[in-house]
Amino acid sequence: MLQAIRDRVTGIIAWVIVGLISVTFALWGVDSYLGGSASNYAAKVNDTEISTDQYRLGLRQQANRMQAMLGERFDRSMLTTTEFKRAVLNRLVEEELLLQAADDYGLSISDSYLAARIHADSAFQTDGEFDPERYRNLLAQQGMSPSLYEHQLRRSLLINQLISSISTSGIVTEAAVSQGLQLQNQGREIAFLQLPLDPWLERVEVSEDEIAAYYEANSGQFVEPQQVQLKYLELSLDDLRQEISIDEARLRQLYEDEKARLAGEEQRRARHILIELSEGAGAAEEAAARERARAIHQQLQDGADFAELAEAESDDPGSAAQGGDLGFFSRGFMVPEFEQTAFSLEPGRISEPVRSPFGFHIIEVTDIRAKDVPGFEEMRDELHRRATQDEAEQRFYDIADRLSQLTFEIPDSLQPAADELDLEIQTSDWISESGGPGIGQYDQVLNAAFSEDVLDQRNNSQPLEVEPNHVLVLRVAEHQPTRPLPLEAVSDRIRERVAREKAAGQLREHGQALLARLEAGETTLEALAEEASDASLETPGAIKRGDPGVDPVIAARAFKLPRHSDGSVTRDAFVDSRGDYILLELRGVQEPDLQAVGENQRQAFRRNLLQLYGSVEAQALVEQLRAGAEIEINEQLIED
Amino acid sequence: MAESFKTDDEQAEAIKKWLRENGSALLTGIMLGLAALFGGKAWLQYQEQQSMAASNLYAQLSNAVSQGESAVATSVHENLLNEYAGSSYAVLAALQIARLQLDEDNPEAAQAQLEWAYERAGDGPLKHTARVRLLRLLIARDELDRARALLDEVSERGSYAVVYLELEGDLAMAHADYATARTAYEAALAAYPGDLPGRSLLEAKRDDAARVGGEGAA
Repeated sequence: MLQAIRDRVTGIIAWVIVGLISVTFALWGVDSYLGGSASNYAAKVNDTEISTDQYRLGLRQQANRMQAMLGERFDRSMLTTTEFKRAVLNRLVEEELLLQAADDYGLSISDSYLAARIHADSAFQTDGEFDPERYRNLLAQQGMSPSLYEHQLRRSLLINQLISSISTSGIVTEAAVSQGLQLQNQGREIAFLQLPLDPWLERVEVSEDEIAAYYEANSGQFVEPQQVQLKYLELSLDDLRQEISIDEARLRQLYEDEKARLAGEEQRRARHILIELSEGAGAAEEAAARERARAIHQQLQDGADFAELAEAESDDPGSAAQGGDLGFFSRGFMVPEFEQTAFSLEPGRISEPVRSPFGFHIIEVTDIRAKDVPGFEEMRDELHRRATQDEAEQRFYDIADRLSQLTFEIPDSLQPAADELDLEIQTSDWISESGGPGIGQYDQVLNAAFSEDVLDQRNNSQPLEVEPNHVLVLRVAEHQPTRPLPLEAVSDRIRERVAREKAAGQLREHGQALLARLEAGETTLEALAEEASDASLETPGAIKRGDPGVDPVIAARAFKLPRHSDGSVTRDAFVDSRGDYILLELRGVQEPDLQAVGENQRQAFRRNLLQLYGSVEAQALVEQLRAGAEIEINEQLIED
Repeated sequence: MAESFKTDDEQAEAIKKWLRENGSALLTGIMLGLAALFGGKAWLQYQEQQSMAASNLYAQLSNAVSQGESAVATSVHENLLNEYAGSSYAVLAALQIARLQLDEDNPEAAQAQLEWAYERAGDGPLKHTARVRLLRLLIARDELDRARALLDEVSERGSYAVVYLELEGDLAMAHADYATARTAYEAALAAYPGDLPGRSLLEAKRDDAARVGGEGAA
């Protein structure tokens, strides 16, 4: 029967049926195009895929941002870490989450708003006006079509609409500002007794047995780190520069080139009379203009004054009033037809009428300002320096290239490269992972020397550019693995450590006993200071948070101390940052006078709080979306 | 069905006959289907147009708010409410207007806006956003019972737990219940995201809630 239908598809109705069927298939096709291939994505957020292309673009863009931010300190190896890749992918996922949320909330960006944003972007403007050509060219330079750019911009505007709605509209009440300022400016009146560690340290004794026991218990701490001794080839532009000689003939040639270049910078002053001819002018108009130009030219030949004639006849409104004078100009400033005549004419001679897009010009050169060309001897040093630099750079890149090739192809020796390139194999001092003398100062050297490829496989390193135009290739000559240090080598260090621990323990016990007496009301800080000769009483009065006049540990503790509801003293005992023991009393809390806080400080605090609430709430929003979404990450892509 | 026909001619004749009898019904069906398809599309287009128009209004409004142009913001807000009160833009606009009104020292009006946004924010993160802001304002305005009730309405705190815990602390401080406040701030600190600023302010709040002696001793 199907055969029969095919044979008879002649009637209009049959075609309609076929048409309907094909529409169905066409629509089905669209779906699979939109969906993309199933296996190849970087992440999937609720069935929307983030393609590997988007991911790669994200990596590139983030790398560019980091390079711009870090400058010299930018290290390309950062880009291959899984942390970096995960962070980039995470960001893409977040963007997608926000986009989907914006969609769910029915948010959108209109064409007119999108257009307004593009038109307002000064990067796409010429003289303050949107310039469509500039727009297309700039995007083309970035390898983007306008429609791709507009798609991306629309996405980011939409994300921004949602997120900035949240982050800019936080509710900051006067009460919250006051409370924050109150906390920030609170004063706490303290007094403390400082019990120094040193006298206890002097009294304490440490036996050989104790040292040995400590060594046994903590043997892992007393090791000499692994070290390597390196062989390396070094190539630097500075060294190459020493070897280069430039012969006389070459310098002469360079001088001639330079002279020609300077001649091109000659400036001329000219005046002209313009007979204007509009662009679409016909043959008749042109003939008339030519005739008028000839007539003027003839008058000049007959001795008429150029300036007067220019003022009367010239159609160039800019110069006519100046007697046709155009001032000085260099090559490249005038239309070619004009320039050719102006730069070939002898001064004082009047040209035949010259046709340019503006019309006919009659030109006279009135002055020439030639660029001074210094003599050969005068320029000799400069030329020599330049030639040496060029030559050295050329040679540097050639040798570096070959060096890279040879040390890669023959990974188990530096000798062939040394022989062919006439470089000396040098040997470094012992270098540990934390550095060493000589080339041990360079991070790139340390990273390479202790890498799996160089240390375990004993291969040559890649060429390492330790400074601009300074390259090393190294390999490991000797390796000294981590080894335990003998007891004799560390017994002094151990003695000191054990002594400190014992003294601190005894001091703490002493301090705790004093604290107990204070809490029992048997004594006061003042009395204790009298009693003990080496304890000192400090009464700094009311301190502020992070007060620079007080040890940071003490200041922090003072603000952590609970206050007593009836205003009586509360106490704390602890070790300060120097190791001394502190008995601290909080004697009062002074709430600040908020009237005294200036309006500027208040405004600044309000802005900070607004920003803080904004970022906390925006982050919570993203995390909420993340928790409610089905997210798949292509882990393999990150591991690679 | 196929076996009952002898020849292709007979089959063709049968199809023609069927079409004569059912053709108009088939055509009506197709027309209806197409109408539904294009009607649906038109509906989607209509919705998109509405959304874009609301988006433009909202962009004007948030621009006016950020410039502090109160009169412009208010009139755009009115337009937005007249035409698109049911859209999410109306909720976002209410959040912006609330902030503006608070800046202008009109907390009653700000609270009304936040209540409005809270009622219409749906179930997603915008609901939390509106509630958190309403809570900040209620506690500052000493409407502590309403704040308590609002906090109790939250069934799933999710990623907003940190914010709610801090608000629990603020609420307890307003009641001078230092022990509860300290516990709440402590919990907020434990859940505080490491890469956000503001930790030190939260720590200061926790430390300030530490009291001994008398009622509410920690």
